[in-house]
Amino acid sequence: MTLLGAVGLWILLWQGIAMLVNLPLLLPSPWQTILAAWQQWQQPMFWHSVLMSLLRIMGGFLLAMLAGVLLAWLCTRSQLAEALLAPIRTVIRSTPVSSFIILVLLWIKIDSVPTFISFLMVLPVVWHGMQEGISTLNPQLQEMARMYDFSRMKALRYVTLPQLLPFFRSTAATGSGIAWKAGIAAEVIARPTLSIGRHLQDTKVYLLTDQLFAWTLTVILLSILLERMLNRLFKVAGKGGKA
Amino acid sequence: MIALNHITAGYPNAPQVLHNLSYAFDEPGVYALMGASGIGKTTLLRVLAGLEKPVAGNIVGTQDKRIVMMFQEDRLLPWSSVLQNVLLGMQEPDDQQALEILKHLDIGGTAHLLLRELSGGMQRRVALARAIAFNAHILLMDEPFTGVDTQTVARIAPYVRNAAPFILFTSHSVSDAAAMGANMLELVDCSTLRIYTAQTAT
Repeated sequence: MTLLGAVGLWILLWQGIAMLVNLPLLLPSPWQTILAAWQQWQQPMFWHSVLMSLLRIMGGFLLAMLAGVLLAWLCTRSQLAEALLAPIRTVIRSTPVSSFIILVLLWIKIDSVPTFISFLMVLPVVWHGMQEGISTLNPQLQEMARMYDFSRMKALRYVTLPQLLPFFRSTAATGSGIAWKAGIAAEVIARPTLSIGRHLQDTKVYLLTDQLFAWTLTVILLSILLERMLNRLFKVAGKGGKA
Repeated sequence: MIALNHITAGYPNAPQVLHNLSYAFDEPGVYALMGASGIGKTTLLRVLAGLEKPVAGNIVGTQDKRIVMMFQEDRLLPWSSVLQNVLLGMQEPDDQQALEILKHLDIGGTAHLLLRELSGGMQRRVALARAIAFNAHILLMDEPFTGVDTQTVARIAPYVRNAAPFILFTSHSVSDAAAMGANMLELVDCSTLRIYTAQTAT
């Protein structure tokens, strides 16, 4: 079965249940959701909010990718760093995101909360994934690079990075999903002025279920778009180590 | 002349793979290093390549020389093309020269293929091409013809034997050594390296 067929089947099922329930306040139909989304897309405020959410969440995601790689590198090179920092990684991974959001609300500006939360939730994923990648680097290839007098840059480009790219790709894919979910959750609680999360919270307050579904649809579409863009980016980057 | 003087070398879990080993090679020349599996041939190459530091003894005649070792494993970059793998062995990458080397090794048509598209014997020759492309004065090769059929070895050996002024390679095949026109040596035990005789064939 193709992806389109599977999605179509689930939408049909959704339509069937919505017809059975027959109460849009509880479960709007797919058509009502698309209609609500279409109305949202006409408003400049919608795009402004989406852009601001994207910037906040992607900012946190990119910072986490950078910090995660650096921490992974540090922890692979230094046992002391690993001993000192591993408990922090475990605490971040095990703490519920809502605890962090509420705590962080007291410390930093509301606009920065989603960025910080996205960063915090993605960081341990990248850190752990990249540390695993670095620890599985093939020592025989590193020795070969030394034997053939590879410069540091040449070894990095042709030997090290191509080995790490699959790990980077998989952590980035997992991380971008986590960044989205955590970032939107942070926006729901922190309610920055222009944000998807604030609109989601408003739909709950005013019982606008079709709007809630429409915003959720937007979040899903953006998440898919982002993942595709990342994949495209990695494909281009992957060619850097090839002939 | 390259001389090994009372070399003792090994690894943490086998510290004396070589023990008080001495030998003098006349340079230039092509030498085939024979001997039973696990006797220390690879360790000897690694010591000469500078990859293992002897715990005792010294080596004369390798200082300031360009040395390269072709490993027992191909150690090629699977994400790069055949040509790119060879070019990476060069200090100053030269497509024409790399293609020429591949041609001499009977794999001229594979330049733009990925490694996974090649047979084991062909991949071995790519590793050999990279080692030759390094343009070393001392070329050390650990079983360079593994997986390569006898006829191909016979065809490419005259080219390989002229790839560097001093060549030392390990082998279990007398016919490969003969095809290379090599002086055959045998590592008998951890401290004895001597001229190979048919009676001591492994």
